[in-house]
Amino acid sequence: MQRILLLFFFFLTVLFATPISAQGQDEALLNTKITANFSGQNLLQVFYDLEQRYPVQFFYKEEWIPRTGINANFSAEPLGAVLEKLMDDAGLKYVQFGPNALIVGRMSDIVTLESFSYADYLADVDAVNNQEKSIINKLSIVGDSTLRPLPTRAKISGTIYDVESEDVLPGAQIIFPELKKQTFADSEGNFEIEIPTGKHEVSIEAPGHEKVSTFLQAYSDADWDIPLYYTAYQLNEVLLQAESAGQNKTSAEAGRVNISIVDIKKRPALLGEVDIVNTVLLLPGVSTVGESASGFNVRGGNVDQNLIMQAGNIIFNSSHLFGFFSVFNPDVVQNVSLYKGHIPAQYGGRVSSVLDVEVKDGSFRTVKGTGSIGLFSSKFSLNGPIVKEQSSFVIALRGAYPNVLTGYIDNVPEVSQSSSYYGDATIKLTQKLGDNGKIALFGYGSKDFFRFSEDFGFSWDNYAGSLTWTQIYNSQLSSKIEAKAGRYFSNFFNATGVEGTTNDAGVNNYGFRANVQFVPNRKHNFNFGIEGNYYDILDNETRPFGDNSVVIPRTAPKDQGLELGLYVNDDFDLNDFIRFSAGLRFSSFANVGPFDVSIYEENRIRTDDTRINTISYGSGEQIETFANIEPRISLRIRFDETSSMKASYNRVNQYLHLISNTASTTPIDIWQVSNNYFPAQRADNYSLGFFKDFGVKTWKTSLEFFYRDMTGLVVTKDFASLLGKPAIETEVLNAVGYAYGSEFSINRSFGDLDLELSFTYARTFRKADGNPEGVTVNNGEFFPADFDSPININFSAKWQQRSTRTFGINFLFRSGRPVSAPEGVFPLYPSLLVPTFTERNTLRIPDYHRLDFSYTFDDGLVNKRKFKTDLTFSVYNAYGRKNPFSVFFRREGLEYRAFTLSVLGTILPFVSYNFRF
Amino acid sequence: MKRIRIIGKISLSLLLAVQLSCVTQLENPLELEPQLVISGQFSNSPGSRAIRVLSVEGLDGKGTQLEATGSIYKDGQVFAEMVVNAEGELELPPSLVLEEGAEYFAEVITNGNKVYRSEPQIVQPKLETMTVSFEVEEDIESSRFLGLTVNRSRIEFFAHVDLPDPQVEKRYYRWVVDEAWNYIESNQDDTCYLSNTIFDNTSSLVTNASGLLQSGEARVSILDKRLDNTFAHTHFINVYLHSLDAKTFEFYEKSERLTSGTGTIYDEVPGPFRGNLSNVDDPEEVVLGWVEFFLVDTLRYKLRRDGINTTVPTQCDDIPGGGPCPPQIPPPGGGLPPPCQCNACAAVLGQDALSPPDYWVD
Repeated sequence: MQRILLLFFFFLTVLFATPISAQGQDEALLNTKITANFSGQNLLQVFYDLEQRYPVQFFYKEEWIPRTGINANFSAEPLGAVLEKLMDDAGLKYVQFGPNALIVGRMSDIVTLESFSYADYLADVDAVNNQEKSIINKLSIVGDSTLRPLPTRAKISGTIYDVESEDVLPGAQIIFPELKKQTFADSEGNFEIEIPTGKHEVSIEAPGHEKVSTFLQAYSDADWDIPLYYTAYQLNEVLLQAESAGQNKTSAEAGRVNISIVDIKKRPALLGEVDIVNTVLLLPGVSTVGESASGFNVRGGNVDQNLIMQAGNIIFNSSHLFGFFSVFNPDVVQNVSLYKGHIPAQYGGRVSSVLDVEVKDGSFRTVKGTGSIGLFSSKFSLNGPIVKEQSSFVIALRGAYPNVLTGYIDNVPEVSQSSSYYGDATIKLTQKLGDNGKIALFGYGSKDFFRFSEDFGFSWDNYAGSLTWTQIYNSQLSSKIEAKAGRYFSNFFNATGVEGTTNDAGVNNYGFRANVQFVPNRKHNFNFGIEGNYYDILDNETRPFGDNSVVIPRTAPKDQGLELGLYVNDDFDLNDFIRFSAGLRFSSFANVGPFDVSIYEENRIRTDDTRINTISYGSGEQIETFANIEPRISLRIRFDETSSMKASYNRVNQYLHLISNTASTTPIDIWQVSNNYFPAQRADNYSLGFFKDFGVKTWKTSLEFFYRDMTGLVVTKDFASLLGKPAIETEVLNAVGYAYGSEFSINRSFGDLDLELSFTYARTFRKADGNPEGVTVNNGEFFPADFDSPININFSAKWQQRSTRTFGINFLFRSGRPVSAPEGVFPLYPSLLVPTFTERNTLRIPDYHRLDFSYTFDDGLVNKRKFKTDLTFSVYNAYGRKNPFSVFFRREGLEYRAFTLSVLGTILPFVSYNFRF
Repeated sequence: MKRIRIIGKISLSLLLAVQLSCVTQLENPLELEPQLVISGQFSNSPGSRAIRVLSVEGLDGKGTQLEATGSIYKDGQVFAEMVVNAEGELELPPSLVLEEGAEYFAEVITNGNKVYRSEPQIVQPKLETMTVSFEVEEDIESSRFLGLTVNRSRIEFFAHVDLPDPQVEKRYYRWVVDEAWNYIESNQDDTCYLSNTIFDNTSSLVTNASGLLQSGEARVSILDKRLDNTFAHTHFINVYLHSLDAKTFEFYEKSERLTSGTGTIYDEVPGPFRGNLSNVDDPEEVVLGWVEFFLVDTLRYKLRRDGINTTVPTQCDDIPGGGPCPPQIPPPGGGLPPPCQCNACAAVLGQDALSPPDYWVD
């Protein structure tokens, strides 16, 4: 009997452990008396014969098994002795897994296989297996056995979900190895597959969950919901590695990364708070200007060039608390996908990347809660059924109050008098519509506030809401229709005397999206649809602030725009080796009134002095339009089961700009739609990647190259003033840019020790281009972007000791980012020194590197099923490096000196105590 | 079976009273090339009538003065040849007076016969007579951690200006403030006069030209400092109101923006900014500096201890070389304690400190 080895991860678990005797093997199986006469059969045939006659199953990879003939006779000899004799000659070893299962592998790969203790393993998984829902090694019977005649084929559909949380598990994989059929669960955790009726072996895998091998007896079309367990034992961690790397090789989308929320929660956490964006920042090709900077940069793109979505809603500022945390509450997150290379045609509007954060449905069965109370922050979430099996809710609240800590910093009055906090709330209501549909109402709101002493401060709010209807019509057709609305609002206040101001800015967003998924056969997966987004940039309002202010209240009107996208995308298999994801997106944008457009002298740089006229446009009146075709294609060629290549090209247009005159994006930067003076941003993205596993899937490597060509950018003029500026086009210059780089990653699992290393070399440049009167930046030469950090190295290790201890390490290295620096100072008179700066971004701040680690006692302190605890120690910046965020210059006495600001320039230890009951 | 699982999490932070961020001086971040600097100010007030020509290397503004000659041009004609006081230091003769509304520029010829000129400037009319007021505010700074409270007083000076409608008249205000006080040694026969230039008043620049400020009276904070023991003595606050043109105002505004960085994400990206001089024969040559012609209005505010309705502390922190005072004992029968008696003034500041400023009135 020929069979694909299903339990690969067990190998990963047991490799490189210390040798032991066969004590761990199940004596009953291995003592089974075997009587057999083999005459010329090869080992595959021997296995088949034994399986037919004895209660034993062999798992192996076919190519491992030699085809040489065997001549041997056995008479009532123990199975263990029989196998040792057969396998020694073939250079093979075996290990028992399960009462009747034996894993067979090459001796070179399983040289330490004997260390694996099945008895110990059983002890670990016992708790899981004993739960009623576990399907491990059980026979599941579905369909109607009374039908006559019995159908020859059965359509099996269902949902794969986590038993404890009842979260659905998108991307879970179902494999029928004998049938050579497999499928993946969709974003809702649903799957459908057609198989011959009868008994089949099946395995189910999902990131962060136990890999299940079981049997399915199908009589006819049937529903089959599959529960999986998130397990605390060591295999879980290994599975994460194997799964992510495997998907990387098999999907057609170059540069797509799925991040399991389980994996995110296992990382060492800043201030004890796991965070999605901070985890994304550990991926190759993703960088940031530095600690406390808002947003992130992907493959040389600006922060505003990332499409960040939560439950389908556009998030305009993903940061909480100066960027230390993100707006995503990990307790309600279902799945995180980052598209940093190929962007499928379903997505549009941002040229650099897509970060799609899905929010889970509440449990339809039981009420569950999570929460934390801390000195720094607290959160609480609850989810469960409204009407059991019909409707559910999720509600989550989160808040942080760091001012409680900073209030004790007496030696810096400005800090002790400062105030900061954030809070957010998430709600999702889901109603099932029969067996094949559901409707979900999602809402999100957040508030951030920071005040520095009495001098200045700022706040920003995020609001988002959506209504989503998902319907499955049949095994081939499904649809998802969304209506959404969002608002981003920021305020800045500065009590500087007569010019003390408070300034409001923001953007409203209203949108819809209708997507149809059509799977005509196993080779094609079509997605097509329409998407619309209306961006209403809020007028930039300035008002006086402070007792002495004589600022005139004023409004800088902003314009609006409607973006439409029509798209079609097909993921299709040309054959077993070549897979395409190809699509086309038509995008258009209409800049509309009400708005007064300034007209400037021809061939003159735009300034207040060269403005000669204004043209008024009424509400809804079209000012400027854009239309573009965006091809998207990605190709995967799988050379064999261990290696593949991917290549992609896509063009994306963006009709929004984030205007900033600071080196780092801030919450108070100004959004601007494309119009007469702000062209559409366009990026042509190219990527090429190679993926290869070495050894028995133990060394997982990838090497990717990318190039991005960007037009339609803007850069701010030197000394640009933005807040409250009525005609902001006078403060910017048109620009182009490009980025290129390579990303190398290597993962290795040693069973209970997982290592990941990634190395990125990337550069990104900008050039002010095509502006009248020769006005430019850096003499019209390309200059490095503010976030250009050529070398990024990330290393992480996780060591799981038995079932209850996890030790994690992160190490990061980043080249220092570029800054502008003074090339000298000149004394105007002896007491007044005036600095003069170089062209933009000519100096690099010192390199950034940091070590974090965490140690978790998982489920070990109170070892009772109904009252679990875990304790996590984590240390951020373990060797206390004063990583510079910036270099700045200030006067000390009668001279200027250079200083570096380290945002977190000290060791930050934390302890988290968790309990469940 | 339906049951509620509550997962509680208590985060026990060990972070207490840790100052997270820190600022570290960076040694020699750049290898700076020597820069030619020509800068000067010309007004009708003493002390603001010279140009310096020097080669500066580094960030301390100090450099080597370069041999040079120079002239001042008025309305396109040579107004005066500047007197060479010392190598690289050219001064306008005291007898020459700047005229309101006239256009001036400076020409400097260096030893290598390179000719540098400043951009022409029209001397702006002197602004209206300045009025200044002050307020003393007592802050109670408390330590939440130790439960201690400390009273500290601050003195804030305000200039009062009448901002006209910019459609009628555009004005550019710049205030410079310095101070002087006398310091009485233990030897009562010697009086030591200390002076201090006060920089970095971020609100000392105001214009109505941007159209952003309301017309009418404005109260502009021009000095905000902690009341220290220097106010226990006769104390002068000197306020100078410069009349500027738009370009000079922009120069100061940009220089203020360039030096207001604190390293945070809110710092503006600085840009190259070199001043208003250029080489006549080679405009591409980098020359730094600013030459300015202006009129100034001066107001001296005399303060005595009994004119400040608050307690003046008795530390010597603000006196150069000063140290903690011994405990102050009020004289028998009441009254103010004697002034702080700390280090010897003359020993610290030199004999010049024994001469009062020319405006000093006891």
